[in-house]
Amino acid sequence: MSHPDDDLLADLALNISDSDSHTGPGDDTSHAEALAHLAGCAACADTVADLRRALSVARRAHRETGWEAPAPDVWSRITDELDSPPTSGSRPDPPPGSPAPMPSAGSPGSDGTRDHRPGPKTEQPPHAPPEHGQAAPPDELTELRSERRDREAARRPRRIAWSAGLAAAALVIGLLGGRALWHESAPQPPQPVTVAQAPLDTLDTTSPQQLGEAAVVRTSNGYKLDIDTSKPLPAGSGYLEVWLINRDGKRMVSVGVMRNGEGPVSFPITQKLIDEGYVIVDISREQFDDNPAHSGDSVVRGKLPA
Amino acid sequence: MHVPDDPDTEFDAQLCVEFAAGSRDALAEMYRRWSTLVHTIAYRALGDRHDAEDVTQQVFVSAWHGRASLRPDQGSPAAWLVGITKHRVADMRTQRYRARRNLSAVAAQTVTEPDVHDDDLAERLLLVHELERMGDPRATVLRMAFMEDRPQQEIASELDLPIGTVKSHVRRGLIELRRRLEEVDRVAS
Repeated sequence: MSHPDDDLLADLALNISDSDSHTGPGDDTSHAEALAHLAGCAACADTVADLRRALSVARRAHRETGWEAPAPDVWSRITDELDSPPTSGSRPDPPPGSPAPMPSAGSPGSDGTRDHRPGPKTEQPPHAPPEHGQAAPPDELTELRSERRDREAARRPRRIAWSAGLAAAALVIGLLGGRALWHESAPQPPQPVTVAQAPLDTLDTTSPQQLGEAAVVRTSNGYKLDIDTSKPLPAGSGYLEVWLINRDGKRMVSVGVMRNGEGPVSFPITQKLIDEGYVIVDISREQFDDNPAHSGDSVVRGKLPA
Repeated sequence: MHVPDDPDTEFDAQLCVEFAAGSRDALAEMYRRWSTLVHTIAYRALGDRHDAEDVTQQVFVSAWHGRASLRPDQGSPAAWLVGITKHRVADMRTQRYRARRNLSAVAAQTVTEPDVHDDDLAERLLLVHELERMGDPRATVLRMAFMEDRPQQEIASELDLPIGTVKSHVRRGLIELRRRLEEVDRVAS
């Protein structure tokens, strides 16, 4: 049969875990045909896997309440930052088309301490938007702009003091932290850098086969886990999920689903995971069974060098 | 608030176009609509108001600098902002972790467990936020179907809607949600 349409795939994603939502006898035939189709079509199986992930997110969303609006001065901090002329050490705008940049490692506050904040809130310019509602709706923008010049004049001495404080603090932390933190304040490399790499082998103890490779890559936007395969990995009637397993063998994190069962694919990760020992890359075969845990059916595995 | 979905989507697309073209008013509008979502994700993920405000500031500054990467034809600005938020939260965690590791290198056990159980926090909050913007009866149908996990037949009889209507809301809602999550992934990877 041809590919089932989106509606039918959505029904499959919903009905696999919720068999009582069939609405009539007519559905059963098309569902059965579509299920049969899924077993042989990786693209549709991936779509259903994605829909199932969406459903699982939705099901766990049910007690999310309580919004926390940012303090009213955050908007003026944003406009201040955008209006500041570039100072030495600040990052130029990226070329158009590049992804949203991250602040460079040397930018304010990036060492995790609070001491370099540009003054406590009481020192904010007195032109912060009123406290009612969300800060600075568009109609207040014109007013904000007209006051920008004054504000910049008012801000200048503080920025100088702040820079001096930052330099002093960087020196102190550099002395305390030695090489590791010194490295931290160096600019991020503009090009992606592979920081660790490992072959992905089958778990066959007698003659393991290498079916792919995993790499942790540092980019200007953070870290990612790249998976490449020499050929599509067998997903059977299910889908393939990528995990990072801790070297303690007890904890693991799901990194994502391989859409097509083959590389190259990449998943965002944090360096913290690697630092804390989540260094074993594992790709498992999962069934559409509403069980978010690892199935125990690993296809390939590889350990990243520490 | 209770606008139907489609005009809202058009409005989002228009906002994207203006924002990508460099309109500060569009940035202010995005801030007005989504700063609470961004800040709540950061606050819940980091547990610290100062850090959450720093992240919120960074997200909108990053969004402005990276505005050319917002594609009006690909998903919603909310999902795009949530993708950026995930990056900034991860950066903030890494910075904290390193600071803590380096300043208390001996006390290794003070380093906390990674938040492995809350990988979907940002996505869940995005979903709830989108549901709150959505008009009824769709929002109620989706809330009952997804969050309360109730059978569609039961939803139909409780809301006194034809089963076909419930079914199509649920399908469209799920397909739309998947698109949102894809957009978050696209930005966050």
